[in-house]
Amino acid sequence: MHPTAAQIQEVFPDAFQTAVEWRGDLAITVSRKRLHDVCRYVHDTPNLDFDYIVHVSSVDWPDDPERFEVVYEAYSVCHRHRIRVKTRVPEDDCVVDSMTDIWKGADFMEREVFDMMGIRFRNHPNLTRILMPDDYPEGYPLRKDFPLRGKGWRDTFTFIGEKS
Amino acid sequence: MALKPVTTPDVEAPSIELTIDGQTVRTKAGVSLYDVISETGKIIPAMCYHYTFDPFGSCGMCLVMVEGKKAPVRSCTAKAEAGMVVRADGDDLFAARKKAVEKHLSIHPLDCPVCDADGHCELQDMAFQHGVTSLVNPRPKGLPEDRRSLVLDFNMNRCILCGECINICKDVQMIDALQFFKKEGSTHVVAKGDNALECEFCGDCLAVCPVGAITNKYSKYIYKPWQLKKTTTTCGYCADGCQMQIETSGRDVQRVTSPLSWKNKWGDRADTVEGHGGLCVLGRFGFQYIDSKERLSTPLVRTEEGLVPQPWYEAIHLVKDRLAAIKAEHGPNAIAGLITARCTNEEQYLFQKLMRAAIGTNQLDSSARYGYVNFTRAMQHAAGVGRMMNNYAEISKAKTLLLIGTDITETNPITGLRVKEALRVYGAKVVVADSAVTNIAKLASHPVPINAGGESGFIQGLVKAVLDEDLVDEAVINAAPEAFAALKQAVGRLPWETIASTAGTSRESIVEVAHIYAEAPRAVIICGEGVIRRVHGYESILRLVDLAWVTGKLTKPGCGINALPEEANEQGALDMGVAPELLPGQMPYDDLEARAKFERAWNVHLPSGPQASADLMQILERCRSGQIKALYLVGENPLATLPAGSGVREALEKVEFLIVQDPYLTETGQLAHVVLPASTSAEKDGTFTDVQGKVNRVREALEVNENARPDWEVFAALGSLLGYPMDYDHSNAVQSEILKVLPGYYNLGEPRPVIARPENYLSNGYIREVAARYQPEEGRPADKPFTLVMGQVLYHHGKLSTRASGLTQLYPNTGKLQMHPDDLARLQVGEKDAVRITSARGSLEMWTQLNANLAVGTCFFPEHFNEPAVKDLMDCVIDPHTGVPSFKLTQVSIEKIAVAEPERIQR
Amino acid sequence: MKPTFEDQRETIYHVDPAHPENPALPTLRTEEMMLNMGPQHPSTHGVLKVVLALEGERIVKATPVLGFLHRGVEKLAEDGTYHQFIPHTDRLDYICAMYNNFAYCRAVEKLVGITVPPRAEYLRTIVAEVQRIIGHQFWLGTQALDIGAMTVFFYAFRDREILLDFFDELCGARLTTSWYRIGGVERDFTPELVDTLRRFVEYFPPKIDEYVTFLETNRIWLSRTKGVAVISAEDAISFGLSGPTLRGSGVDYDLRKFEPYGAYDQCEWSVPVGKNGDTYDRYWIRVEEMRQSLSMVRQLLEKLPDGPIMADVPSVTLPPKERVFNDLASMIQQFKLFSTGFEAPRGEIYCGTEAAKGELGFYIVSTGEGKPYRLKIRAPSFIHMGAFDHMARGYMIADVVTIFGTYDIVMGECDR
Repeated sequence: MHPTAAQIQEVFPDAFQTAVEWRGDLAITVSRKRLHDVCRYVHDTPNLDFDYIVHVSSVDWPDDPERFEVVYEAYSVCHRHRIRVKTRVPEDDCVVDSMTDIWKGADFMEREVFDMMGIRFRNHPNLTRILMPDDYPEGYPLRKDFPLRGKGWRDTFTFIGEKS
Repeated sequence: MALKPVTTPDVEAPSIELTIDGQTVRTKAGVSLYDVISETGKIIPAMCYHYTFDPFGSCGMCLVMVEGKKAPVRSCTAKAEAGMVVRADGDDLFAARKKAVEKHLSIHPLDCPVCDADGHCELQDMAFQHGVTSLVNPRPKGLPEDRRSLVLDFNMNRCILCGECINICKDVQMIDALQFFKKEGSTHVVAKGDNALECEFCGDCLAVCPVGAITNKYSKYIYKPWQLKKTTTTCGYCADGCQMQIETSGRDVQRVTSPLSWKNKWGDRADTVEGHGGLCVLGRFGFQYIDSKERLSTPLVRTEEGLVPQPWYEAIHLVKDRLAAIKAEHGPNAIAGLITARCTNEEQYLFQKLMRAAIGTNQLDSSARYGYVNFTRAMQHAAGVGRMMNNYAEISKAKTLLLIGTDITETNPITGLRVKEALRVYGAKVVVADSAVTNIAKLASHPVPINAGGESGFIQGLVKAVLDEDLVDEAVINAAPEAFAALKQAVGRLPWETIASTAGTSRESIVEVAHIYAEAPRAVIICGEGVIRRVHGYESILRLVDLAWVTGKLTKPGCGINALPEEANEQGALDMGVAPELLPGQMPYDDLEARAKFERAWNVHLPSGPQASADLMQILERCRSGQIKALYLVGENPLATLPAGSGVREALEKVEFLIVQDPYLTETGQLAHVVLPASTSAEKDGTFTDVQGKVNRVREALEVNENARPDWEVFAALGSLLGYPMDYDHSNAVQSEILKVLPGYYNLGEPRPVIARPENYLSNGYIREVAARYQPEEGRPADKPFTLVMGQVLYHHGKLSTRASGLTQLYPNTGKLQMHPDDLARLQVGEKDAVRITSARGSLEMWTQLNANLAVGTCFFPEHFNEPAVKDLMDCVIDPHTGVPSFKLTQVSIEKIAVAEPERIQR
Repeated sequence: MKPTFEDQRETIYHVDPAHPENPALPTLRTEEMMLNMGPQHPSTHGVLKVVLALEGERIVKATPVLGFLHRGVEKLAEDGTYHQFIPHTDRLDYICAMYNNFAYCRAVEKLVGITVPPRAEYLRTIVAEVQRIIGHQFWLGTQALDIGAMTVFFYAFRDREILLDFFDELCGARLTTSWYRIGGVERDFTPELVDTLRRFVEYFPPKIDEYVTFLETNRIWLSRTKGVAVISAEDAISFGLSGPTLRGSGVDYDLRKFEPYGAYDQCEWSVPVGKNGDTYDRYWIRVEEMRQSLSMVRQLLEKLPDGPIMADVPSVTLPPKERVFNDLASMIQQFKLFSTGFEAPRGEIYCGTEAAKGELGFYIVSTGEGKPYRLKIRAPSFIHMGAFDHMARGYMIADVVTIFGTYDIVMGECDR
């Protein structure tokens, strides 16, 4: 196992689930409850020092009981290594702790995940929609059950014709 | 996978062992090596292979290395032998297969952008899979496309000479319409004799062609496969219950495909007894009725100016107001309803619920009354059976098949394929008793020509022959000796001369058939329109029960009596109780316990008494007498179906309030006061029950057009408006209700086997009734020597197919009477001459057409066309037991007429 | 006595508020004002709305409202094959389309596991650096224009035209290029193009000096950029800033050096790093990057090796277009790759590339089909907008346009 993954497993034996190393990327899946602690740990520990937040995203697996996967990818500028920390949340309780207190850049990124996938982040300073209008009623666009052409919102727009 | 020897599955062969890629495999000797390898789970690419027919070995893709042979071997044509060591993987084999693909590609034209098979092409998949990136010496053939046939185009540039089309036509369809033909320096696939292709157009060749060499004119160049939405549903024409995929883009139906295709080429040969997944010309090429421009798109209401469009709200409220007023003034028995058997089970259920619970009358019927009820009533009466006794597997595996009065390849082609499989693969004896030389008679082992209308006499003869030749089953007879004695006495009174002359065949041939039937371990009887749509249809079925009973074949597994329904859901209509004598589940309406159960379930008091109940012909009679003031016709067109002599026009014109609900404006619709636009089976969700008793799903392939509505929605709306709440937001809600009253009805394709129980009948009523059905039949009037028959042709089905432009193109209405050439010669009728055809009801002047397959003395006109109205020459005889009207056969006289004004006669 | 003009002047200019005889000065009443900036605004570099909470001219809080250019690109990716997504990437950062293509093609190549031939790597790098120059010229011109130095705008865009014509010759488009392909590039350089580049490499350095001269001797420019929009290194890293905005604060994080790709390790160049983290440092870094890019282009052109321009993996890479219409096998290959797509292996990868604006990354999740299961775009402009509030607080309204400029935000990338 990759030494970083082994280290995390040692410190969080109950939360650590899997570690996959593929094409040079290390991806670790942990349980939702300890996600914040794991992220705090990888950020603060000197030999890991993942201080740069690369991206926060989410993947929808509609056939799985724990439908959504939340992904945090971080990088260390001084040690020059990467890590991907993932967790799964079920649909009826899709809440994850926010990492804005660890990485400031997680603010907008988590808002985007909320906007596109509907996952809520506890303790987020301003969890509102960011790309879609604030009052967008039709749901969360990146979910797999949301049709590509939308649900008809565009048909409600008034179009200015040539004669008017 | 097919672990059978290459030809007959039942053949015994020794078990052997061989090695494939180091794995030891046990199989039977003589099996195709490709099948053995597929059994292990390894799929080697093969372009000319399909599990429904024997391997051909033309594409050169299925190469394997066999120890002891220097060159790679084509595994499909190689037979498995004991101790073979086979290697199916390896770089050399991959390279050899790649070379085979390159060979095919190098003579293939650059047609992908315009080819209809683009995206669904095996050659493309093989080329991509094997990484073919460049061709060394491309030499496309540059041949013109063969567009001579009416439906299928053959593009020999694209053909890879795999032979799948020829093989499936020869092996499975047994029609053998295609052949290889060398001309212009290369081998082509053409119709026999290099003529334009004129076959049954089942489209199986189109379905199995791995490339775009065979395309169909109706869907050419319009689409690319991935742009179409595919919906799996059940065909709505005949009752065979074929699954098909309707491919649509928006509201246009672009084409129809079958489960049979080159993609589904791996399967178990033994499974073909249950069907090979193909369709017939109606299902595959007759889809234009779904999105035709003539579809009704708004309700019509009659005013002084005729029928004017009205919005749904006004139309449905007018219907409700008038029905409520008529019910209030004259009582519920002034209202009646008729529904077509092309509606789904859910709609049938809601219809009878609407009539019985919301309106309160038992005057309702379905189009199953036109013939199929003869069969079900007789079978229920005698054996407690409500549907066909055998499924496809049993038909395919029968040792003897007795086909009486059915041109099965024209009416139910897919059931006909089962008969062909029994003949070809399982070596069955097939007896075909029909007056014309039908396509199945040409293939049968024992064709027996009989008179047109002689089927009932033939059946009487069979019973008599069995009794005379003592071909009875002793154990069965001894269980009901009084019944047997009564039968013997009744049949004994019938002289052989009468039987032979009625049937139109000799005593010896009837005796021979009786032997074939009685001596078979598994014997299946299939009858069709020639039995159940004729007078004495009910009795004929009871006679068949007699036949099966005394020979011990009524309760034996693998045997049975079957009659083919015409429309897609006739079985479902009866199962849902759309008949005055039936409740849902085919419970008798007179069964008080059953009626009480439904009264509880529907929370209503059901109408009772003879005044409240009426079947099809009784309804029309009561319309004429004035008792019925309002008539609700759903998909039914009696004016175009029934002959004038039945009084149908008077009945419909007398009705005060006629509602017609149909996708099209029919002849009956022209008389209506309100016309409601309905949807076709492709635009709703529901189920059909097919000939095997399987309940098949009908799925919505496209949205119903503009203002048309599915029938079940209209029934629910009407019921609710009339004060009986019928709240269903989807047809699935109706299904839940049906499941509560008929638990287990939705058998998901696994119907419970039918068990005949004649014991009750044999001890109650048999003795009383048996004598009546063995009476000599009346002879024919001497002044009318010809028999006029109206029947179904393959390319049409009822009147619905005349709305499909594809089918009317294939088989247009010529308006000509079909006669045998000998008759035409005897009457000295030439091409330019016309005839006058006279029956007891009237006469018509028509041109004529040669048909050498008819019997001498018979003439034929397709029942789908009413120009000229040949049906009006028919008598309408109503069966006293079942109320089934028979009007497809009558005696006529024909004379040649001098035609002064040729335009006067319809062409 | 009626006050004379002289008296009034005294009143205005020489009032001593402490003197007991002077009237009390009126107290100024202040309240926070919300000012809406955008989305229609010439300086917001696209459709961007910022709600400014102002106290006087000072910004108390700046809330960006994004999403006006949201086109659902990530959802569109799930609907087409990997090859079909390349034109979508053009439209992300539409000023530097080539780099987006590069970033995406690299990500897919990492996912599928194919290596690009050397000549293709060199070509890709050369074109990418040319694109960087184009992007920085655009940035320079518009930032100068916003701050008030209009001449630089015209000069920068004049020189940019030469390079845009070069792109036009190369791939047929100036803005939305789609020249990169998975496994290589679409077509090779012609000798004329190499010639054009060589001449540009000689022609351009004095022009950079020209821009610099215009700006660095301009007092207004210096006072509007020095000390404005400062961000510390820790904050920048924590926010996830990248590219010149991060390097301005003294962090030398450059993916071209940390995780070399393309032909970046085949030439000698250095990464400019700033000290103070203010707008001036970031400006200086970008100008210096232009010089470095030019040097890279010169070096790589000398060393350009021969060879194929597309990897030879027929199940993934597209056949050359001339063959497609003449050879059936290539036609089928092209067709199958675009209709069903190639079978990407199951797994997920992240691949970051140093685009002109910052770290542009693609996180691709594949389930083995021809279409990506999830494609997430890590767009630097979006991340930078996250730090906008932090950077803008305390500065004045007039600095807002400077801040936009110094972040180098393109809304196409920000909203996707």
